[in-house]
Amino acid sequence: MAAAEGSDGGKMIVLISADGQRFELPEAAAKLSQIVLYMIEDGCCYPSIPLPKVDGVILAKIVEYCNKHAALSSGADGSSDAASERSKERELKIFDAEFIDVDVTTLFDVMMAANYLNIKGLLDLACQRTADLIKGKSPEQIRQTFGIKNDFTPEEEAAIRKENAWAFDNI
Amino acid sequence: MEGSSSNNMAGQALDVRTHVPQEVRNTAIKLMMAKLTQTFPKHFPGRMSMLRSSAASNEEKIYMVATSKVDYLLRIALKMVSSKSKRNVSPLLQQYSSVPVSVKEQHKIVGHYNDLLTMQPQGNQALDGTAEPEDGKDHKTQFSLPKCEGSSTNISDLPHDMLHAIMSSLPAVDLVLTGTLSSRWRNLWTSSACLDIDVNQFGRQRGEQFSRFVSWLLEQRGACALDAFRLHTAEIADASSWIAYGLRNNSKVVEFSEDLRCEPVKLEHGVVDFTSRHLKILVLSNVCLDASVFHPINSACPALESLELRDSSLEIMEISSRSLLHLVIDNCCLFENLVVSTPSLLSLCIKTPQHRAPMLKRFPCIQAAEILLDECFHSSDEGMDDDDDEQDEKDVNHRMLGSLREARSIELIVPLREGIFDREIRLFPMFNNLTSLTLGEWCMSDKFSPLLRFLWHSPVLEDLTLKLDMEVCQYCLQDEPTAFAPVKPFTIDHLKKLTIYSWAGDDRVGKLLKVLDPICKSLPDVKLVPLTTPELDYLVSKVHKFTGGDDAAAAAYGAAST
Repeated sequence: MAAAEGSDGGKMIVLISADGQRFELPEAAAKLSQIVLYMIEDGCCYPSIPLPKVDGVILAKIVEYCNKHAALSSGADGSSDAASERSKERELKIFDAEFIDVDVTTLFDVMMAANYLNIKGLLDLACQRTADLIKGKSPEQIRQTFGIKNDFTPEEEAAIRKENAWAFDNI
Repeated sequence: MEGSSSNNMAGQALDVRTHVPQEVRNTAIKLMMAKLTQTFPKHFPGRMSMLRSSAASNEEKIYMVATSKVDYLLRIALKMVSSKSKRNVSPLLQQYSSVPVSVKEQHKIVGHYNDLLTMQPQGNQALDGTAEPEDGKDHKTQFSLPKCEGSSTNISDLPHDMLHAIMSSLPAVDLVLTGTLSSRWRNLWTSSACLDIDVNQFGRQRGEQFSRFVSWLLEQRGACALDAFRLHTAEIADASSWIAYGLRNNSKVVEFSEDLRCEPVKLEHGVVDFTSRHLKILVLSNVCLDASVFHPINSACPALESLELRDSSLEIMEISSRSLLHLVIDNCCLFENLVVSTPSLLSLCIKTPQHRAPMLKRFPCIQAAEILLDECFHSSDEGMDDDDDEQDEKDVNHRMLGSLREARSIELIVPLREGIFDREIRLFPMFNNLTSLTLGEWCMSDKFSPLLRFLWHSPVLEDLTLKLDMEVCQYCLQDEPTAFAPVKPFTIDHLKKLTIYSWAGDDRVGKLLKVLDPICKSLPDVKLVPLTTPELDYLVSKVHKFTGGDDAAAAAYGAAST
């Protein structure tokens, strides 16, 4: 069970999605997932780690995220002065913003996968993005955005409206 | 097979164990763990090791009692289904099928069973488990999970704790509105652990309506535990009781600010009780604090790590929390002689205190300190009439520098002609850890004595920054640095970087460089940064825009910026 070697000499981890796609990524990137980290520590990551809850399209996104964050946060190039730290931070911010700018279905798939794989940074990012999509919208707009079915009876709705009158009418 | 501690089991199960290869057992444990992670609270400390040992012990039990390989696999599959249905926290799974539970469960048992069977090496040739399984075949049908059934995730499929995580980033009004989306969302927001209430969300309805909203919101929440309570208000009457709500519900973070256009809020003793075992971060802005209200912050907040007091009136005599790591006192009025004696403090920031500066006791762990005093401090200080001022002041002066002697980074900007450190400078302490130092132009006064003393007393200094402001010091101008020779020669081996901020054409820079000549010669990095502030540039462009570009004011601004 020899560990696969990456191009930079580091160990490579193979993840396998629910639909059987293989993803190879450096160990440092894979370790961003607490679950995978645990499996690596426990030695049960060879020849591959099956992730039966995550399908290939989403796992591809996750791998992209992990690769970018591991590459930029490890300080592998040895430079650690404040200026380069700041520029890295900026780059990550820009990357995150573009990365998470996806349709809501993908957003929630990514969120569920991040939760399952326990990748805190990605989970926070997805939650924040969802909150940003909710902010400033009327309930009807939120329902449309996320496909939420209004299952209140007209009476219930009237009661809610009355109760929250200040919120609907005056803000 | 190195099948663990099962040797004491004799009889019928023995040969079974030899037929369940370790790979299959490992896979079974892994699968059971994956199941458990679905249902277990996510941020529980030590969660993974708990799950691992729990999965391993479950597997061990089954391994011990199984009568055949098929029996072993079936029991594992059953175990996985039962542990899930018992916990019953998977709205996710309920969402995906309208099949009655019993049928669904049966289906899942068979599913798990089949998965486990396919995990086994085919035939005899691959018993060591190293053979690469054929992709797409081996893992395709593991778990009968929703994802594999071709459905995609919808917001309604997310479990409660994830919806709460989303809600924690919502401002209060948006949070409350989620209660009108559907029946599932109806009361979900009332248990959100983060509240962020901002009067600015209310536009012109700032007064009574805002009060009504906040009171109603807090009433709806009841006693649900909080993690973070942030409140920005323009309402004075109920402010104390709202802060009390945050504290009462065990919030770790309490941030309160009163709009700066309003009167400061007097926090009432008896209404606000800061006693809290949970409070970690406390931020108060535009409030009046007296000693009786403040007292519990010192003595009854054992978890308090960060305290920020901004734009407030402080009638307190001491800040002495033993757990406090970070302290900010920004633009506060000090009506009493305030002593700061917090033994664990790592960072300290004191900006523009009015009436007087706080007295500082020695901080043995201090890392970073930023102290900025302005003219306001100076002028109101003169108005003080206590008899024992002289003594006090000496005390303050001495301690300001002495208390920071362990710091690694210091920024110290005091007004010109202040002379606040005059006495202390004679007792100048050694700064043995100081690597980064920022000084204002006051360091040039008295023939550069403050600057030189810092240089003499900071043996490991690496980074020196000097900020020369717009106001030109008459005393500095009178100095003749050319005639000035340092009493003691100084060499600073570690200094790597010198940065001087100044307005272009400031001739003090030349004088500074002359004084610093001995160290500049060998310095790898000397930077002169001209002060052309973005604000000023913006003003200039504005003025140009208004006047079509040729106005005396514009010219004046232009001149100031160059």
